[in-house]
Amino acid sequence: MIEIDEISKLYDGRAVVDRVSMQIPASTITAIVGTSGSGKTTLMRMVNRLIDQTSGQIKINGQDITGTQPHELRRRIGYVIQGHGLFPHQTVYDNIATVPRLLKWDRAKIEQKVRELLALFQLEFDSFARRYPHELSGGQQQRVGVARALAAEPDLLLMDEPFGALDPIIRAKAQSDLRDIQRKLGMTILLVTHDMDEAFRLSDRIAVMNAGKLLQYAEPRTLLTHPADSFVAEMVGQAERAFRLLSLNGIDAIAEDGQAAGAALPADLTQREALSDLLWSGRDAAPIAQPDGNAPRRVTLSRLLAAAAER
Amino acid sequence: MQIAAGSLTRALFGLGILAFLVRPEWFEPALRLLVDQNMPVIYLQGNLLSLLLQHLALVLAATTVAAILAISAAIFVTRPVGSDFLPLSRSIVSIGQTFPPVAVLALCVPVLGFGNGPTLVALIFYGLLPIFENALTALRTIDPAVLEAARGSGMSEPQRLMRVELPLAMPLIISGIRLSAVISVATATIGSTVAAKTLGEVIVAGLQSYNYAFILQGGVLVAALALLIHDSLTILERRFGLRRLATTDGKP
Ligand SMILES: Nc1ncnc2c1ncn2[C@@H]1O[C@H](COP(=O)(O)OP(=O)(O)OP(=O)(O)O)[C@@H](O)[C@H]1O
Ligand SMILES: [Mg+2]
Repeated sequence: MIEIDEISKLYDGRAVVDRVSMQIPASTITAIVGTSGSGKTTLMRMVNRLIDQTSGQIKINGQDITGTQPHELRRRIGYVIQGHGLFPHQTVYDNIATVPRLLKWDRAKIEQKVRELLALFQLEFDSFARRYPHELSGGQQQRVGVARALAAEPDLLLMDEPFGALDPIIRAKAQSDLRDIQRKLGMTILLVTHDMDEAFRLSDRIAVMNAGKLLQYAEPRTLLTHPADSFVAEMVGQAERAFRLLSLNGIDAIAEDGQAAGAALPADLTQREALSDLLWSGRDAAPIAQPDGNAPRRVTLSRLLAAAAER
Repeated sequence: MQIAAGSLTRALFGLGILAFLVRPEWFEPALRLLVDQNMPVIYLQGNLLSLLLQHLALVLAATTVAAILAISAAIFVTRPVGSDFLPLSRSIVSIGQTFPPVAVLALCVPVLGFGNGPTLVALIFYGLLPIFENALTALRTIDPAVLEAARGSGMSEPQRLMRVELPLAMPLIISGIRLSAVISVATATIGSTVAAKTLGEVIVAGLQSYNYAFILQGGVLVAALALLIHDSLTILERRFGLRRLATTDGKP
């Protein structure tokens, strides 16, 4: 759990981050969104003391961060930046081993960790461990960057536009991988992004910033249904509000018993994907694929439309 | 093909130099063509090999000291504490370069006396700039994302310097050292005017007695030394830089 309490950063008397308070629950993903220059990066870099706050307090698991030497604090917090920042003179292995070595882990434990992480990110040890960063694709470099941040098993991972440099297809894959890894390892993630779809796809909660102030910190659904003000409403995309709401839920939530014609939809589809399929195929209802022997279930256009208009 | 031909020429030249140092008399008939009947053809006052080694030692000593000073200065002025000294250190070092080495020699002799001392000082003074400039450029042009990652992963300032900044700066620093050493090899010849033991002695002796064989011997040996240093430092530089500076067309 991270408690940010009335934190501010002033440059030349101007508040770049202005009395921001938020409580980030453990084992959740929080996305910080906002216009350029709204203070997202500054807020994030105060958490691992790359920037010193002007006033206010940040606690991680109850401990004030100013109680620890900055470099020691940072070894316990994973940090991923846009453009990955891999060390070009070190192999993938050495890059990932960075923090464990700083923490003086023994060799066997480090090797085991590197193997484990490469496997987690679907990079084969024998072919990748000895490569240098310039011998990797952009997507692979990005994965190694995240692996390096996770090597010392931090409870908290800070990510500043981690997928900003990736093309859309690889980015979508990286996002779902991150979500899976977070579920598996259970760390808390604080992530800055420009991409509102990314924020909705990934996060449990979204923080909207403007001009240094935190306007709203809430679950994605709440931002859509009860935006704190017109800026938040604008930011989360009023025009796409209905689609965003649908993309937050799976079809099982609105499924009903009954038959329908045509191809069955996979059960793990989001409501948005189901709507798209129904509109495209011109049906009013579609069957949902069920395990053999279960009663037939379906999703209907009318229930999807009702869900999209939810308040 | 071209590279192979280049190294072959270098190797033959090296062999020739070696043969000349060990068996100068083999070259006597050719060199005799350059001088009058009863002049000496081979410089025998000091053993040529030992002069060459002393020349080399002087250059190595000067370059080592210059490298230590210049690299330390470049590190210092690129730290937050030293950034105020950046302009100052730059002007000091460029003064070192605009000052003619002969003037440095002349100024040092009254203080240090004749011999190797003044030459050493002039060479150090003279060798600082290329190393400093290169080290500075190298340290200041490291990808900010890489430095941010180093800081973000919890490296202390000395750890950042030793594990990230210096290794990344090394190829450029070594090329500065190479430049400085090659300049020093040439500059050291004038040291013999204040009685430093260098190959300049052979050239000066030749100039004084119109002995073109001496001038040629000295000149060629100095050139050989410069090439030797240039090539070995180039190899070192490659070792540091090759893998990561390689372009992506080597991608597996
Ligand atoms: N060291 C600094 N000195 C003065 N002003 C700064 C400094 N660092 C950042 N700022 C200013 O603080 C404001 C917030 O910067 P920050 O990098 O936090 O924005 P951001 O929300 O991350 O923007 P972006 O989306 O473009 O990355 C900007 O107006 C920026 O110019
Ligand atoms: Mg930013």
